[in-house]
Amino acid sequence: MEPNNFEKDFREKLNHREIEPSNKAWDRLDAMLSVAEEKKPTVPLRSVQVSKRKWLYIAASFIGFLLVGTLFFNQNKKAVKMPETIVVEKETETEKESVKEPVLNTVDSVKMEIAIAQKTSEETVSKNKKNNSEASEQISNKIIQNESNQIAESSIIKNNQEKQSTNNPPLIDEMSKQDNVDRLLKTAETKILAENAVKSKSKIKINSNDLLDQVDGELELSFREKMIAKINKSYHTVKVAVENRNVKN
Amino acid sequence: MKIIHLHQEETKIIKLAIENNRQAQQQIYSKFSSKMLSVCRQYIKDIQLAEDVMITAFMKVLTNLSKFEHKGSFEGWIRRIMVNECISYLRVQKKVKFAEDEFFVEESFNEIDSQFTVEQIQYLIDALPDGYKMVFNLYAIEGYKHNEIAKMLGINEGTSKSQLSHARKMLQTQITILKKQDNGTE
Repeated sequence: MEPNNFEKDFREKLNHREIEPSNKAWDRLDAMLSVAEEKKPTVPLRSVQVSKRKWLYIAASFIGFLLVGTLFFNQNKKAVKMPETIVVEKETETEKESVKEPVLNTVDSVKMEIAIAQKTSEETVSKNKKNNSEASEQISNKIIQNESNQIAESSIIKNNQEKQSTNNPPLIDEMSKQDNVDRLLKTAETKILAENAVKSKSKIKINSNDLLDQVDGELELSFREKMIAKINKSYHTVKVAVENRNVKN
Repeated sequence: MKIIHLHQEETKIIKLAIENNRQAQQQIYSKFSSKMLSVCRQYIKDIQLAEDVMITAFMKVLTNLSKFEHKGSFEGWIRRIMVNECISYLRVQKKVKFAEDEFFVEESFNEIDSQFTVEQIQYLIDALPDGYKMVFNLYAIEGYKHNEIAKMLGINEGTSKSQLSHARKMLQTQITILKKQDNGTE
C-alpha cells in the first residue's frame, strides 16, 4: 500500500500548487477577526474577572475569618477579665458597705439607746410622778428630755439624785431596772449588729451572683450583637467594593 | 544561519499576531493563503466553498496561535488545521458517510507514469466521491497513516484501507481514460 509513482507525482504537483484567494477573502477574515477581538476582550476578561473574583472572595473570607477570630479572642479576654474587675469592685463595695453599715448600725444603736433611755427616763419620770409630788420640775424635765437626749440623760441623773434624796426604797428598784436596761441595750445592740451583718452579707452574696450573671448575659448579648454588626459591616464594605470594581470594569 | 533567522522572524510575527497585530496577522495570511487554498481545493471542488473553508480555518489559526508550540513547522501546523477544517466541512455540511466494507486489493500502479498537469490531477481527484477523495488525499497527498486517517474520520482502519483501494481503482480507470483521450488528441 505504499504510495505509487503517480501518487508521488500528484503529491509533488499539488503541494507546489498555489491558488491565489480572492481579494475579498482577507477583508472577510479581517472583519471576522475584528468581530472576534470585540468579543475576545470580554471573554478572557470574564475568565480573568472570575479568577480575580475568586481570589477576592477568598481574600475577603480570609479577612473576615481573621476579623471574627481577633474579635472573638479579644472578647474572650474581656469576658474573662471583666468579671474579675467587677468582683474586685464588688469586694470594695462590700467592704465599703460593711464599713458603712456598722456605722449606720452604731448610729441606729445609739438612736435606739437614746430611745430606750428616753423610755426609761419617761418610766422613771412616771414613777417619779407617782413617788414625788414635785410635778412641775418633772414636767420641765420631760420637756427638756424631749428636746435633747443628752439633756434627758442628765435630767434622769438629776431626777435620780432627787429620787435618792426623796425616797430610798424605789431607788434600788430603779438601779436594778437600769441594769436590766443596760443589759437589754447591750443584747439589742449585739442582736442588731448581728442581724445587720447577716443581712448585709446575704445581700452582698445575692447581689454579687445576680450582678455577675447579669453582666455575663449582657456581655454575651453585646458580644453577639457586636459580632453580627461587625460581620454585616465588613460584608457590606466588601460587597460595595466588589460592586464598585465591577461597575468600573 | 538563514534558516535560524527566518525562524526567528516567524516567531516574531507569530508573537505579534498573538497580540492582535493586524499587520502580522495579514503577513501570516498572505504568506500561506495561496498554498492553503490549494490544500482546501483538493478536498472541495467548489473554489468559493474552498475559500470559505480556508477563511474559517485561518480564523482558527490566527485565534489559536498561542497554542502553536514551535515544535514542527508552522506551515505544517496550519496545513493540519486546514485539512481538519476541510474534513469537518465535508462530514458536517455534506454528511459524507463511509461504506464500512473492508474490502481492499493490493494493487500496483507503478506502471502508470503520470505526466499530468496539476489541473488534470485536480480534475481526477474531483471526480472521486467525497469519501474516497478524503482518504486518498489524506493518505497519498498529506502522508497520513491509515490508523491516523481512521482516527480523523472516525472510521475503522480497514475502512480507510478499502476506501483508498477504491479510490485508487477509480483513479486508475480515470487515468487510462485520460491517457486514451490524450493519445487520441495527439
